[in-house]
Amino acid sequence: MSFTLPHHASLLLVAVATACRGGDPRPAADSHGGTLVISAPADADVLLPPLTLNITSAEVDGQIFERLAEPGASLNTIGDAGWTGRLARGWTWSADSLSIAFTLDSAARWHDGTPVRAGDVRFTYQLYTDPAVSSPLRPLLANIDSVTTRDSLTAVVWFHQRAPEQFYNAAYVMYILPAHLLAAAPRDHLASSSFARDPVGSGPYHFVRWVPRQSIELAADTVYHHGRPNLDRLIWSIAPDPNAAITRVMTGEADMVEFLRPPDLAEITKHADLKAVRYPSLGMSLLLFNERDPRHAGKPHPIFSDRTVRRALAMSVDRARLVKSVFDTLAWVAVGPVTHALPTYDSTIAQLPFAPDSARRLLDADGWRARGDSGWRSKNGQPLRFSILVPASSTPRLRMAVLMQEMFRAVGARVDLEQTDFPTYVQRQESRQFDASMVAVQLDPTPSSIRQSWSSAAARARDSGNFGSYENPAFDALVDSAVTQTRPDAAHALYRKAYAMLIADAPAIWLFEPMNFAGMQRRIHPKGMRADAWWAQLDQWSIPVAERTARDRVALARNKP
Amino acid sequence: MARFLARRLAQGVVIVWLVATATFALLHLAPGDPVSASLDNPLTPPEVRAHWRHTYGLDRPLGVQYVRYLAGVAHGDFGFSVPHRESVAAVLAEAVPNTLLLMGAALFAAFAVGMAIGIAQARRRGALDRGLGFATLLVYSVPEFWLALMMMLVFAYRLRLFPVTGMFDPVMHPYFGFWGRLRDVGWHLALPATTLALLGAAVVARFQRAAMLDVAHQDFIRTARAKGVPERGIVLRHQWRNALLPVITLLGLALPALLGGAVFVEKIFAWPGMGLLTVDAIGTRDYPLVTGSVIVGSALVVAGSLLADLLYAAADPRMRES
Repeated sequence: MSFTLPHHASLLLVAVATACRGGDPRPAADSHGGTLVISAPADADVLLPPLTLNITSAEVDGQIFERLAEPGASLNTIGDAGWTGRLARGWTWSADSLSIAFTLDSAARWHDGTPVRAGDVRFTYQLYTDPAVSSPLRPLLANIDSVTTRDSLTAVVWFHQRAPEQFYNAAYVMYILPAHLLAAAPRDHLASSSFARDPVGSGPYHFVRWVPRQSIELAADTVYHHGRPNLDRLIWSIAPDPNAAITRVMTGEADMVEFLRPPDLAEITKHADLKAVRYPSLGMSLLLFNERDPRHAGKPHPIFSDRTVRRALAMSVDRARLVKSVFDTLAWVAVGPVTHALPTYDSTIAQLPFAPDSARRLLDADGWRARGDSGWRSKNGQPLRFSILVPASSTPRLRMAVLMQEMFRAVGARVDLEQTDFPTYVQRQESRQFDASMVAVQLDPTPSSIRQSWSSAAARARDSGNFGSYENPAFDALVDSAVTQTRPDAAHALYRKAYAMLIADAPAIWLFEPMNFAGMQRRIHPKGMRADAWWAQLDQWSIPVAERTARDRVALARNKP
Repeated sequence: MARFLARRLAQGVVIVWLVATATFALLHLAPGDPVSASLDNPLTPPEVRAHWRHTYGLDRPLGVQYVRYLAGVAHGDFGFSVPHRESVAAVLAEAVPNTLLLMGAALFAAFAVGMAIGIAQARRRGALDRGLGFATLLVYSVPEFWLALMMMLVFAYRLRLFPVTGMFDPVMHPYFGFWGRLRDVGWHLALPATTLALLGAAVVARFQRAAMLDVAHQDFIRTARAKGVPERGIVLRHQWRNALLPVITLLGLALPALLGGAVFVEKIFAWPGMGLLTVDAIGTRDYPLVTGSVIVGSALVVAGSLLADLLYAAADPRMRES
């Protein structure tokens, strides 16, 4: 589908009409204009996608730079179903499926006016995979052999082997970068390069200014190749204190705060000019058991290496009551290592029931007997006593740990809470120095990332993501089968079997999946808030003309860098 | 005077070195490092973490790191901040002026208001003294973060007189002229500076009142009064000047106290100063930035102490002679 972008007479700059393929039609010209001020909890670290680590940077990067294609709301990662072209106008698979040729949009321009070319895609791949750059995303490109250019607008991505997530690996992981501006930058000091503070991309918004720990401002690229974005300006205004962040939205100083805590949600409803907008989430929390002894490297944990004990402990936790107590109705009980937003989610996956009597019988049968008046259990002189590591910065996790302490006590398990600051928590987890840990994870859109957290290979690798050292060859086999399935329904069925096996083995107790709410002014009309990136379609958010305030009317022309 | 200054500066260098060394050692004793705090995603591969640790010299023995750090500091290089991806000097260069602006405004207001209250209390014993005494005690007893939140609630949220947070209006500031920008910063400075000033003024007032009462019955006051010096002159030229010494001592102590006290205020009002920067750096185990902040902070304390000594000498001729 093609159409022409209308002209907006009130703009000082001329919005050049461009052809746009795929996606939703652009709205009428009067939807152009307005400023969105986002109250952000932290400043960006660096505005260079291969090295971006924090969420604010990711949000800003997502407006300045573009991927080759974007996934749909279903977040399908198998094949290319549901994907729409972004920098790429289209793509063709080779007959043997070992390469994909991406045809770039000939209208795409870097913000300095230089056309985007296939050489930029090749350069980007080389940059992401250069060991000197040391991008945390490099392992996700492991299946890509090389990127070549067929002509100035066609980049061909070659793969080592056929895999269902080839397209995801090629299109999603990399934001395409300008070779002409970065080729000469020293690879081992890219993070401190001037580009990382003053980036040039090809996305819907161009960089205007960054005042460290204060604000980041972007302005609409009026000649953006998919059509002019609706909002004139995007400003991330930093407010580290959560109370101040929400107060700024209530006073109208900011237009939105991306995450509302339960008390904030109650407060928002008292303001007629504000609204809470729910969006899908990939976040979840769990109580992870360490199956290796933290005090004796290489030895099994005296309590958690026993599957029966883990299952008994899982059955002693009333997760529904926990979630109700801490979140009321603002979170779901987690069904396993998957959230509602993923296509592999299934609410019917078999769960271990809350059954404290059965848990006690299991422990009795396994030799963990209650001793003395206290009722604490032990087996062969080993008390059923362990500690739960909790980051003190997380109130919900701390409250859950306290409630679980009491639930475990009811079946004769004695639990100590270890609160630590966040870096200590991360270090203890990385070095596997814990008995049990309250973990919060942000899942990858791809279900295959489950291997990094639960596979036997990850358990044996030092410093890997399988901190609990869970190992089960049957689980590995199921996941290996799932990741090679090219039919989504077959892959999803295998993933669900793997989830069920994991839940039955109880290497963790999956606790809750929070509902994400953003707080925003009613005049803001959001669109397409995806689970992996609520900001994915910020260029299509709008503010109706009649509801604009003084700051929405600042002329865009004055904003040119 | 030159020898005095040289000696105090030498002492200051030793103090700053000792503080920096202790900070360096204590930080490295704590678990975690800047890389584990930054690359906290479990999916980050181990070789990437190792490469980052190597790049930033975190894989070297502690002694080597310490010597390299000191050598760098001697050359004006405070190291590289991993979370900020910038040199520590650049990060501090952005934060120090903001803190000095906030502290300067707060100190000026705290001492001006505090001394005025103290003098008024000493002169008008009775209901005014008791009322102001109660008010200053109340403010002094209030936790900083609570006072900051209340200021925000009343003046920013309810009355909408001042902005909630930040150092300037992120939307309009770039488009103001010079005076407009100055007014914008002043408008944003009002609540955090007033919060800090109120806390400081409460302390200054109590010191000033006690010092004024101490000298009120001394012989030179009685003599001045007997000579027919007007009451206003007695208070300002004789009583107040002689009651200044404890307040000057307080000024030297107020600098580090304000630096520490500003942490909460900076966090709540999102003021991008050193206090907030240092606390965040501790949280992310940003060793070079914490040590750099401590060096700058201790240098400010030394400077404050030196300033107090100089003011002492200016206020009291006996100090100049000694």
